[in-house]
Amino acid sequence: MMYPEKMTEIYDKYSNAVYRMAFAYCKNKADAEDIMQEVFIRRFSADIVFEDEAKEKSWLLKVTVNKCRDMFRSLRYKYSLTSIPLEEADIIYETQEESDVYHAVMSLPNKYRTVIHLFYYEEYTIKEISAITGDKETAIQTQLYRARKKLKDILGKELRL
Amino acid sequence: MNMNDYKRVTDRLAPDERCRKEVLDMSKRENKIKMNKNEYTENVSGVEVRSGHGIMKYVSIAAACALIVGGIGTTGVLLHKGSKNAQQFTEVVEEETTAEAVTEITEEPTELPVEYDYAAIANEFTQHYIDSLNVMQYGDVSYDSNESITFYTYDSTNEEWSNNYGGERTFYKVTDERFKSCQDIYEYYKAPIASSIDRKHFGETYESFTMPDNYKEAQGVEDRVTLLSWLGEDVSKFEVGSRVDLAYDPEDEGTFDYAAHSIHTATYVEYNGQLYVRQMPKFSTTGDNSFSTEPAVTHEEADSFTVSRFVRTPYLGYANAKYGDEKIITFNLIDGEWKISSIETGDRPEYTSAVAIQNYIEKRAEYNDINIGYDSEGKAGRGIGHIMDKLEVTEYDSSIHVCKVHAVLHNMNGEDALDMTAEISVNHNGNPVVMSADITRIKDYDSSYERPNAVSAN
Repeated sequence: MMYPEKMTEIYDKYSNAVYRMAFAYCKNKADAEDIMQEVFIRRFSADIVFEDEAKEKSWLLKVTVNKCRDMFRSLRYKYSLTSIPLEEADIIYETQEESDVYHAVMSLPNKYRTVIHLFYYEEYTIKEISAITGDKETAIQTQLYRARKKLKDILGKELRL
Repeated sequence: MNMNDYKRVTDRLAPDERCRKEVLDMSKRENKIKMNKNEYTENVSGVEVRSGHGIMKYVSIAAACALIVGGIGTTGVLLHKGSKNAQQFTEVVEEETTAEAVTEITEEPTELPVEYDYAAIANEFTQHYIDSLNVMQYGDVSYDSNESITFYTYDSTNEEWSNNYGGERTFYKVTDERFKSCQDIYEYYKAPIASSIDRKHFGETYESFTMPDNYKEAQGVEDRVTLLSWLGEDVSKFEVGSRVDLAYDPEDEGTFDYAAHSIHTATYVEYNGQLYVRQMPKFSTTGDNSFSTEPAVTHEEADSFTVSRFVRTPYLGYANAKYGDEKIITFNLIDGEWKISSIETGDRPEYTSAVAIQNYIEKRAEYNDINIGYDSEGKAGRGIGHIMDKLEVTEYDSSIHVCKVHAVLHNMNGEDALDMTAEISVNHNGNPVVMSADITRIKDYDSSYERPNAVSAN
């Protein structure tokens, strides 16, 4: 059993990362929040002691990705994820470039968005992403390459990374 | 345009505070069920938190002062209150050593506690930091407008991009005696900065990094943006007046020409041993970064202190800002010198108020005619600045992070349509929330002006 103080500490430390991963996948606030709540309830009920914070965070993101996949396998989403519109209400753009790049990333298929988010936002390595998503490293590399290529096609220019 | 744009937008996403309560309450309830009792009865007693023995604190300050003395001459920012001179120093020690209880202490080197003028130190260091940002990011240096070099950038693999984004890039010879190279500007930037920087989020350090010697490997103090965004490379290999190809193979990093891209994007480049600056178009009419408040010391210890100071940044919507963005700056005494060890963004009264208003209006169908910065104007690059332009913070209580604001919002036809006064929570460690609002219609609702993605009010 986990003490409330520990729960609060864990939530405060990782809630943004979990929520942002879920939002990158679901593209809307309500689903992202639902998934985030499920992830933390699972974490608090799991009797796991992590070696360090990095391992705890990657475990949380792995659960997040799995829960996102589960949600989108459900009947609720009968269309492919790319056809689900991005919910703009909670997204703030300060420049046109931010809007363009964010929309470009969010227009990618979900598996590409996932690796883009984990690679560029969370700055995980290919190997670490492989551990989180359960896909082979070669598959991650291919997804990253294709995601970059699609972004280039959409934006008309390779992004500086 | 780069992946930092994605990062910045994502950084602004956060779950509602409601989720925190729901998750934690639910988990606590499950805990209680497991424990088979109604309430937690954990008690913690007998714990006393102390900051150390009083006299030892005194001594530690004195020791810190001894270290600092060497720094006075070099930094010029250590300010004594009361102008204690050497004679006073001796006299004080003699008085203190009369007490039996401090016999051991008098065997230590005779040192005197010094009161630092933290506000003065903070003022000088933060001013230096902001000046260096203005130099580095906005080209705030003197230059000779008659001595320029011009290039023309393009991408040989993408004609459309070249037509839209490539073109003339002109730089002027820098005449500012302080700077002969990009490395000089970097040295100026990092002068008040500690060699080891902490990056913080809500006051908690989430990563530390070392400021490298070379600007080409350096990142900003506040974020991970490479300084190569502003401090470019030596571009002498390109002939003045020539076309510069930006194309490269994304699968082969070796083909990326940093010098070429410096010409396209950087504020400064070096050419034949001279430093050149591009005159950057400003985002708004606010000019460069400037402070809107004096430094306010919020926390102090013997060898560190924290100040809060608001900066008006030259971004969209900040033209009329009374406050701007709060910078929470931590100073540490390192090897006898004060240095900035972290800079975190705190409250943003105008910006956060605009975000709260945006969310508030968005969720109310009766205001679907109000332009809240998305869609049409968002495409025009206005975004949240559209609300900020017409927003005034009339009161801001930093102790509870609450603003009172007045805003006039436009309908989608550009007419003044809503007069709004509101009380808004702008706590950077929370979500932007309109706590109360008083809204008066100036222009009647017109469904023909509904936002394209708004749910119909009918």
